[in-house]
Amino acid sequence: MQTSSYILSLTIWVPIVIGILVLFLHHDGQKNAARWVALLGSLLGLAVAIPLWAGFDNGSSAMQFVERFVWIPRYNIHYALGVDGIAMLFVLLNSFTTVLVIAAAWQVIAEKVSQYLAAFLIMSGLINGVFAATDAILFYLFFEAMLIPMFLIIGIWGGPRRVYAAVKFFLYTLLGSLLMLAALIYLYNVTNGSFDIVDFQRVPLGMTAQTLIFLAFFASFAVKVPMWPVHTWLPDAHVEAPTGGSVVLAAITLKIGAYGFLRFNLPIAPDAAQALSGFMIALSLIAVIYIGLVALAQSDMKKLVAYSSISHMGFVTLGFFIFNTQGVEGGLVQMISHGFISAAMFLCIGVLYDRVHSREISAYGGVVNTMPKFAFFAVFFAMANSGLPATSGFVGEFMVILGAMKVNFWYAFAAATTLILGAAYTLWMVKRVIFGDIANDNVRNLTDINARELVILTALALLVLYMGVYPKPFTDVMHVSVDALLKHVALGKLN
Amino acid sequence: MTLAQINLSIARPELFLLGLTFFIMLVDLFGDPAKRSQRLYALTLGTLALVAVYVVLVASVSPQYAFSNMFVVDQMATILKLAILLGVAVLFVYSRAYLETRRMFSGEFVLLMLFATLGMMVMVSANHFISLYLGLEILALSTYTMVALNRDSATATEAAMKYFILGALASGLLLYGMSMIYGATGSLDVSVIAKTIEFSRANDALATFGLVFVVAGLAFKLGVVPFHMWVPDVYEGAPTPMAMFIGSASKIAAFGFLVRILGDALSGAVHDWQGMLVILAVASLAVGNIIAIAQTNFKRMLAYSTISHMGFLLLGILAGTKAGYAASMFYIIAYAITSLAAFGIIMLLSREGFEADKLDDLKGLNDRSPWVAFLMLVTMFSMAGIPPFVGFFAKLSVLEAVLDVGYVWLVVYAVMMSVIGAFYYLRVVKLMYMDAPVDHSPIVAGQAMRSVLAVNAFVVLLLGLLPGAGLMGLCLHAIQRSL
Amino acid sequence: MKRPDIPEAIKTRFSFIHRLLENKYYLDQFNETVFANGARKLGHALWKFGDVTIIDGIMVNGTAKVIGWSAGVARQIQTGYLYSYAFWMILGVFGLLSIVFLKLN
Repeated sequence: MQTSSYILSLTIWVPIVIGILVLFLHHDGQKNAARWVALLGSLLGLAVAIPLWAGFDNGSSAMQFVERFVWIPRYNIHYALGVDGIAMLFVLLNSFTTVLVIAAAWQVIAEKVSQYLAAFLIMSGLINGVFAATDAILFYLFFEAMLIPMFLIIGIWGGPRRVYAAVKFFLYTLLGSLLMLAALIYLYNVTNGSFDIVDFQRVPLGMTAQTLIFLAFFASFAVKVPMWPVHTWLPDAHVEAPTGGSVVLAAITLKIGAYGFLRFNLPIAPDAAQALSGFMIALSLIAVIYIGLVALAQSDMKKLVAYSSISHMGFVTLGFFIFNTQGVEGGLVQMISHGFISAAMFLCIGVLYDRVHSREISAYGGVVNTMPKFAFFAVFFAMANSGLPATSGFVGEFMVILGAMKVNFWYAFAAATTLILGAAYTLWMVKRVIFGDIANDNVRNLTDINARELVILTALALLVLYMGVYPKPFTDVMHVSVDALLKHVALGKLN
Repeated sequence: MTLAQINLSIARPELFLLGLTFFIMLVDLFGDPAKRSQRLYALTLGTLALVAVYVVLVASVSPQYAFSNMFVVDQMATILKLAILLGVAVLFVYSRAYLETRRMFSGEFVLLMLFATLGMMVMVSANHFISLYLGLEILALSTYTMVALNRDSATATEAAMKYFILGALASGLLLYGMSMIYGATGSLDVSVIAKTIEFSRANDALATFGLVFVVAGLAFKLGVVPFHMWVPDVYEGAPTPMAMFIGSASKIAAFGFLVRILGDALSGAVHDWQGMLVILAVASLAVGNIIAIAQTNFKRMLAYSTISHMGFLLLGILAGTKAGYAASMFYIIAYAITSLAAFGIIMLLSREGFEADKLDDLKGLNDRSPWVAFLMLVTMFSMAGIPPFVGFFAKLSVLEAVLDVGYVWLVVYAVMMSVIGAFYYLRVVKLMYMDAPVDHSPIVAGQAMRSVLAVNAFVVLLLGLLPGAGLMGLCLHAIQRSL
Repeated sequence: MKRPDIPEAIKTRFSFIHRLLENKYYLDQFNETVFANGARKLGHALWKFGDVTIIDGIMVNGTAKVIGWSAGVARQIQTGYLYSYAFWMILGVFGLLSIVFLKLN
């Protein structure tokens, strides 16, 4: 254990406190003040997260930057934080995405500006808490509390069916997470009164108990990922959410589900995980193929990218449940890469939507003629989304396919169809939106991206390229943690 | 028997409250009518504060008995009394403006409320079936009358009438059950009954028969299915402060009453009443959560919400363990605090001729007042059991107690019902934040009310962030020391 | 080009082969109609039938509808009549009695 530090607490509480401050700037004349405070807050949130990367010890699989205080003595609940090589990357990803989201909202959101920005900042802190918590109840608290700002974001600033989407999102997730709560309480009893996740991972459990616990956690995380067939909240939520909401949903909150599998399902119920791996792989492959086909049929850009996200997340869960290093690391790389790419895709759609107010593919055509700079980025990110080599999208998919190949050729074969389907739906969309003749007056009157949008998209593009060309820094960080996890899973805990 | 044996000293808070209530009655009769309302308000809050001080003064770590074991002061009684007094005081602050504009802030109201408070204090401190019943009836008779306080309102009178008749029926059931338990055990003293049953010297069949009637009577007071029918009508018909009273302080007293009877006197028969409570809890969770969805009146929705919450409360009790009672105690106090805030906001939004008790009246509240909407958001998410609000930890501790005695299915059932319940709490949030306002009139309220309401909602959040900082551990400690 | 009529002649004589070659064995069109359109249609069918009808329509919204419907039905029990309230209470007592006595036997 390292000496105590407060970095993780800062990554959680800096955005939350600044978010609350922003709430007080709610008068009409204070809109710009709210924007600047929120931007500074998100930058500060990113700045306090940087030492996590700089000071991280790649050689250890133990929790780092540990903080631990007794919080609720009655139930032996601790305010316990710590990150390993898996969680740390997501704290950074989240803090980074928050900056983008705040910047992207600059002129777009004109109604209730302070509440919008505050919701994102508070949510950012809560999400960091999800990744950093090492006490199950603390984890649960952040995991659920996060629903509140997201519910409001979708419901207040969303599209025409926003209320339906927001309620569906909330209840879907709540149902899963309450079953997880039951499992957590059960584990508390089994461990003789501990909510420490490490104790959960150590306690021996019989096969029946493991299976039930696995399924309870599955209910919670499968909804979040989302896996087929509990994915139908996602297209609705994405389509109705404002751009920032879609970005956070796709880039971050989906990753919480996959992260949960690694943090809870695999280590707490390793034998059940192995026994049920066929089931999990089947669901993952259905997501990859079925959802890939469904994405082809979409005429709404946001819905298309939403389905594409589900399909890509199918790759992640596939990687996790083949239980080898390439698979799990590939899944993790895919998660981070998808964080960048899906954020970029939604921001690109947001750029168009802000100008034309339509998400229909058929409302566009020939955008390249009026927005050349934008077209460059759109095409680049589309390529990355379909897994073009030298972009980050390629690395993760390739690693997962290699890992799957070791286990079963047909898994790899089925997974590889995503390369075709992904290319088909993404490029087809880009072709119809970006290329061709100018379709209508709306497109004719488009103005190219401004400096703010240029900076945001450039930052993402550089990251996508960097990770695609040189993924080693990322895999180095996670390597030891992944190995330790896989060893633990292989060992099992039946007795 | 000498006065020393009666041990009056530990009943000082109750005696003091009784005395001051008579004093207020006299002052109200002879005082200057122009300053009546101001005077009543100050006197009442002063009385409640003084009584609270006395409660603390006579508090003791180990149980102290008085009146030949009819009356007990233990930690549970002390904490519940303080919670009740605080609840009633907050109620006075919230409802003063409401009642004054409707010309109901009168001596009668104050007297009835103070008598009800006395009844509740006796209930949670009683150690004998007679004193339990006495406290219950003081409370019940005062409540019936308060529900009918607005005698020109047909709905209020109808609600009071229903409440009174059904309440009389329930009291009859309770008394009948108590008499049978007396027949089976030969005593009305809680401690003696407990010992008799524990050592199997009771007439089992007769005691069990009595138990059923006692449980039925208790179920009515809590308002659990199928003894809940009065709850929605009374919540909707009664003036808002009375509904608030029934949904907060009165529920705390009912909890104390329940634990004295089931957790103490009849603790040996836990396997007999556990099954009954399971049925009552299951039915209440389903009926409360599902029917609440179909409501358009906010108070009526809160009534069904109360029914489901009382079902949840029973889960902790039916565990039959000290951890379970402590969880339920935390739950009921948390619920009362949250409920106070919810009703407080209804009264804040109301004005003369406008009750603000329709769900649609909340539309667009965030546009009218982000602050009030936020306070309501906190209460709604707390009631739905979403962290980081106190409702979550209340649910957590009850579920832990239930799982500990092996009722896995019941836990899963309860969380499923919570998801259904979340729907109608979300709908309130949706109305406030996602709909456009219909009513644009400014929200007027006194500074005292606004501040107390803000503190109230803040406590809902604070107890969620730091439940261990006191209340949760205190409840466990109190139960361990008292039973 | 000495005999410009030859290609023309070949074109007319072997019109079928010419067309086949001109259209690259119709592979693109085959690709377009069978694979691309087929996949799109399959995707559309999966979406409309799988996602919209089965998962969302029956499972998700269906559950919500059933709950909403039972709420509407169950609230009818609350008739507003005192005798029915009392009736339910008495029924409740009998219910509790039967639980206890079923257990005793």
